[in-house]
Amino acid sequence: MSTPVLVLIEVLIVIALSRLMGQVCRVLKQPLVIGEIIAGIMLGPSLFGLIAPDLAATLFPTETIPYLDVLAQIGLVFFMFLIGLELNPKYLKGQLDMAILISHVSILVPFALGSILALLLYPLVSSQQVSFTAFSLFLGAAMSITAFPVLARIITENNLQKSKLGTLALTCAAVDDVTAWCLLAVAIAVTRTNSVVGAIPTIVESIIYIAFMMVVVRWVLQKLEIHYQRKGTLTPLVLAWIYMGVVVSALITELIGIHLIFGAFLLGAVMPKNEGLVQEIAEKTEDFVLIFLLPVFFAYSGLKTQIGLLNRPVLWLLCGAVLLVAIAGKYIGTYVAARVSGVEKRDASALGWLMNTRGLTELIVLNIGLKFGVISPLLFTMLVIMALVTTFMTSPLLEWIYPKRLIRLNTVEGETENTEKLVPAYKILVPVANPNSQAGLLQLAGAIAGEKAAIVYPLSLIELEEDYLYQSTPEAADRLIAQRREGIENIVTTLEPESIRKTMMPIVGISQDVARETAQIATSEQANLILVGWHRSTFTENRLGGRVGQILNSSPADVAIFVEQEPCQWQSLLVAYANNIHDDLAVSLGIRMLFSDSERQLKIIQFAQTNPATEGISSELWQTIEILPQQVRSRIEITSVETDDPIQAIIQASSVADLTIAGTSRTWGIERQTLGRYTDKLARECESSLLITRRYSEVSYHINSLMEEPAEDLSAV
Amino acid sequence: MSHFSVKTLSFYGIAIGSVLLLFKTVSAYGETKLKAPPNIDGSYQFTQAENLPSCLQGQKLQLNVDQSGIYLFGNLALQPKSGEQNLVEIPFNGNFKDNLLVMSGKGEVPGCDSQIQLTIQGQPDSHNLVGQVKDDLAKTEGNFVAQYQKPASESSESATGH
Repeated sequence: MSTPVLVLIEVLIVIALSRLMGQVCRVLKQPLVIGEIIAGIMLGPSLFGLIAPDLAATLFPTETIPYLDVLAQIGLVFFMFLIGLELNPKYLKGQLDMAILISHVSILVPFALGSILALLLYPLVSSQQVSFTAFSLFLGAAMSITAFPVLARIITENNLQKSKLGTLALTCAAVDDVTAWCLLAVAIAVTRTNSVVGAIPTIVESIIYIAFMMVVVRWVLQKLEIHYQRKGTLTPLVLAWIYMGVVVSALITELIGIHLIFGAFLLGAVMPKNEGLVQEIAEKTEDFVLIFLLPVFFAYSGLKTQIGLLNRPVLWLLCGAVLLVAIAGKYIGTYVAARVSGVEKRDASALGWLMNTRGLTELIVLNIGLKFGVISPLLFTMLVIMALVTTFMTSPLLEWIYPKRLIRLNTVEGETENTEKLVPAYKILVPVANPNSQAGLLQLAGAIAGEKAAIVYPLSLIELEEDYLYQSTPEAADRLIAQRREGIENIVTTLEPESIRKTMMPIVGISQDVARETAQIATSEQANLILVGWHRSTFTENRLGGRVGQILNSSPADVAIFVEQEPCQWQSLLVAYANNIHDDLAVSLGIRMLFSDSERQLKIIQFAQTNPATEGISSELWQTIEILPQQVRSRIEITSVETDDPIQAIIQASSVADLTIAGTSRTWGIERQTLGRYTDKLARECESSLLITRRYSEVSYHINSLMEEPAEDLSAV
Repeated sequence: MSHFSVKTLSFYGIAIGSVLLLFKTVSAYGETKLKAPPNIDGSYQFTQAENLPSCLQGQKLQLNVDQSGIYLFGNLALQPKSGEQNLVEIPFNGNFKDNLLVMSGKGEVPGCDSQIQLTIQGQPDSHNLVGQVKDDLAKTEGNFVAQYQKPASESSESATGH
């Protein structure tokens, strides 16, 4: 097989495995980067080369490795350009002084501990060709890294970007990034000349080049920004000039004696942060770089990672020492500096774990170190393990220190200052995927909630696709959230009567797993009911496919599924009653709707009359019905029907109803989470809108809040 | 509000000063007192070897060494005599301390009645490796000379990592 064909096959394998492992990591609530690093390691001698050495040697022969290296380097250059591009000076505002202090101390402590660790490691895992100073500088730099892109993604996914902790962490990571790159540049200069004095010309040249970029190139780029604003779009010619600029800048820093990546990063960093310009450059560049080239870099790193080298207990002990120094150095440095700066304990601790995220940035540093020979393959493997562990542990530790419940409380406090004393007696959570098509769902939620002492949370969660895509950056995610919130608020303004609009409190955020997060929010908000829109799965016959099915499976609350026909005021309600707890919920929701509209009528058709004294209704619910106010009770009609085909009877009755409500009972073929053949018929042939109810707990209080002493109106709270 | 109070500034100053001082001390100590092992990474072709197991005698043997400091990894490769035979590699591990290389390994070799287990002790001599090779099962020992070929790292970039 010719080399180009082999390289293309390698790339194919790399991309496929990266995607696969990335998806596994998404399921484990881990950043995509972990999956990509693991995929790279799996393709190398640590797994593939171990279990099928001949096949591995055939698919990844020595002669193709330089080609992979070239692809990886090009990917890295443009990735660093994107990182610089997305490094918004906005992050460096606000708490900059505090962030500089925390960030620098969070570099100094692991750097110092790394230097001390070098005393142990240098005679064991280095070589005479490398000076101790270069070795300890590199080890210190490797220990000090925080991966800004991965950290930004973790913060966005946890909806922390607006919180004090999130903004502080982002600023710290941005300062950390810039400082760590400078430190790395010094380490490379020292390594290349093997002495600090020899590195001084390189350092001076680097400073001159940075100044040139910040003054001259930035001025030129500002002209480009004006040109962009005039044209309103980024032409291929302008983009070609920008890409040429990236390559030229990368080559200059390589010639100066640091590394290609610095030039690319610098050009991205000095690029004017015009929202449209940045977004357009990022979107035109990132897909190919992130999906095609970056996994090649991970694979290239993986081919160099040989976990098999750790074949003696003493080497695992050394690996443990590396891990301990890296984690403790970063955590202690950050925690102490944050506490000195006045950050409270929980935030300081969360910040310490967040700053431990090393991810991809660490891998970039390690590959440079390995290429220059300053770190040996054994130390490289130990440090890759350290990068993996520190990135892997961030999300669970953050969740432990800062549970989602507290993050939400934090956000809601900020959003609803005027209603912080609000204690609604009845809460409905309404997952809204597309606000434009779900006005009817919110209208129904308002009708069930009523106007007094109830609240409706239209919940819109946004799932982000990639770790490093522009839309995953905190400011882009904020824009997405704002757009989604605006969409919901626009729908709320159309709801009638006007008085129900004030019961709507939208929750909008980023989520890794919409169904799981919905369940968590339902628990933390103690929702009485989750109201979801009907959705047919694209890939299965199950009518409750996709998200709705997942929500139904995982929600710890009563759920109602709305199948809308024609938008209307639902004056005539019909409940199909077969005497089980799900039907009780159907009746309860019907009664709640009677309270919210004095013209509304409720007809209960019951099919399995077991107790004539309660007209077939369960005794618990009957007691409640009996004490309903007369003006509500008088609008309920209960009739019995004896038939062999209850579904057909309901379909016939629905022709004169606006809304039919049915519990997920055997009678309708809708046991458990799936809509069976019979219910499919009901959903298809029901002549009114349909609401399917499923009760979660044996005891639920849907009417009680309406029966108690009139609660204060929400607007008055 | 600025957080650059006297307290934080002095904390900052002390932190930076201490780390710089620490790094200066550590690097001064490391440069003068600590010695990392010389580089012996590479492949060594056996030109002479005594008392090898009979099934290895006359074989073209090559010791491939991947070095990470004092830790050595690699293999003893038996070059095929003809195109029909496959390359046989016996994994070898060991240390390189006080200018003495010690590597051992065991494995199956076609043509040998039983598994072979060898320990190689050698010292770099200009570009060659000179020392003793010991048959751990037969308890025999003999001298060997292996000629330096090329750094193993240049040929170790395949997924097999050899």
